Amino acid sequence: MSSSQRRVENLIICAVLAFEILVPLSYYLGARGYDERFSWRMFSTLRLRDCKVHVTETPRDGGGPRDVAIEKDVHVAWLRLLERVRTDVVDRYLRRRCDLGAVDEVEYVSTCRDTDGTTLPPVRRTQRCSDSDPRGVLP
Amino acid sequence: MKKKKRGKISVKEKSSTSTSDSAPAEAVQNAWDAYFHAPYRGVRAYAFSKLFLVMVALDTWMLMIGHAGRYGVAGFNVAHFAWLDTFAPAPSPGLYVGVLLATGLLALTLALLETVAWAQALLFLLYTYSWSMSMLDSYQHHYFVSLVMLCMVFFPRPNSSELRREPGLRVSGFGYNLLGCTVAVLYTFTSIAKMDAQWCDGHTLRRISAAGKVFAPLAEVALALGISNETFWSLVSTSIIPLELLIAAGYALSIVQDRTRSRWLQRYVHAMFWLALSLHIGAEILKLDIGWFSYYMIALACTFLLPGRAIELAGQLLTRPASFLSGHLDELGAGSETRRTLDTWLMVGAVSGVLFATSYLIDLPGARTTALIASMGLFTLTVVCLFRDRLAAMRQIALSAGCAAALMWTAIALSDVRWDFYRYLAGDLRRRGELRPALDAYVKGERYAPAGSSRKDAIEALRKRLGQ
Repeated sequence: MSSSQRRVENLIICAVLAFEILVPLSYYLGARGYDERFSWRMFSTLRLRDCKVHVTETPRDGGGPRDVAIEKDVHVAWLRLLERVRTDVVDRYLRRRCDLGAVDEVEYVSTCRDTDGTTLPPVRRTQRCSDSDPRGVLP
Repeated sequence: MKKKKRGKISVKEKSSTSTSDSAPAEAVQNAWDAYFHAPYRGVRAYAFSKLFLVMVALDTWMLMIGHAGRYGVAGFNVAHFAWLDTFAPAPSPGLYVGVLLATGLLALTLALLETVAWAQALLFLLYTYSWSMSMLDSYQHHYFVSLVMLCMVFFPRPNSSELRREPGLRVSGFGYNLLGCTVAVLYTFTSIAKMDAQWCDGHTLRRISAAGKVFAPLAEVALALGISNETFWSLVSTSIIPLELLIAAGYALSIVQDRTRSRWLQRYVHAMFWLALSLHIGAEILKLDIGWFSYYMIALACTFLLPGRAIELAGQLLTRPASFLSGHLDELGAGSETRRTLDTWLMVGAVSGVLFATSYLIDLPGARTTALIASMGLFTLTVVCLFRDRLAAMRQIALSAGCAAALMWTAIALSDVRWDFYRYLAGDLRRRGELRPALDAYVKGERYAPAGSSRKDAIEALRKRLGQ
């Protein structure tokens, strides 16, 4: 085998291993948020939390906020991901509600009880439909 | 080093290089090469690739397809990678089923053939696309299967005849070594993930599984010995952390087991086989919702952690039918060149017919498009093989694809996947108030309903609501 071919092979090995190690490491060394994809948390306690999600939207023509029936809007599997506070899904869903109708603002609130029964602080995210990005810090 | 062929080396060779008089950088380089390019028994890579590809094919057809009805509902989707949302087509049940059928077909075709790197790379792309097109598939083991497929692109490709002719044949190809490291990384991180208070307290294990029932007798024995329930569950959960780290070390060391003279290293690696086996059989007994992950991990343990003699024995059993079939396929190549060309075209045409027939019988969206694309692929490949004078290889490809198509239909027909697809689809449509399509899906699903699972009541209720 030529040395250049060996060099290419070693580069591939380094790249694959670096990817495999750095991706989950960034989760553990970071904020350890709700997005556990690629972190190898097969039996995560986050999934076992008992969460309830409420999405409300404020109509542009006045009136108070009204509840959104998520399970009648999109597939119920997305509701599970909203309950797990999957950031990308939350943001995309809020944007969808803005795009669907005459709405000023859409708010997402997730309330969870931990596996030991304690109630966790609610997670809020608000999308003002005139803005490009939602407000509220997701864990 | 006497090389027989690229990627294969003789049994008697000595591959290690002395580093005693080398500079430090060169010593590191040599150690790296001795590890990542270490030779190993060819039968390990051969047996694993065959077994793994068959498992992937069955997994895609018999398990994954059932959830296809979720895709594209109300036009909402979030892909795992934002660029896929921009560049890839919006997912739909047809697209998802089509990609999975194609993935399974390619995997099984490759399992029946001596695989090539580009086809393995195509399989990696297809499978990765199947889960990454939507966050609806968030199973981490699907991501792991993609990593395994990536490593397999760089596997050596000894054929069955070589392995039968030369038992104990050592080969080199860094994909296998890289896969061993990948599995070691996986076990290390799964162990780290469990280093949190909730897991160590034992709450998680009890809530995610049937562990409460399975370990009840042991918990009672522990209680009789004065160990409280809390302490017992904490001990069981916490003990998994060092076990997984030990297995990770076993995989990292297994890569050099076929060339080391250290009996201790070999014994350690072989001991880890039993540990890994018990861990994953345990996961199945606990009925964890992890698809076929345990079986993939058991296949990996057999490949990497079993002693050479055991894997050679399994390899001999596996290569015998492959060599037999290969010999008979060669006989198909007899006759004049014109005859061989005609035979090849006839075979490709017949296989395309089988593909279309199975796609019709499968009765799922996306199946016919997959059959069309697969047939076009076969005809294109035939033209390429004709120009490159490789018609014998083309006949093998066509025959393998035909067998894979027939097995695809058998696997789908034997499983409940179509029933799952139509009932999940109908349930969602009904929930969202789309009653007529829901009724159609329920009625179609009835054809595939297992005994005692009929949705006749739901059908009647829908008909009444629709005034039928």
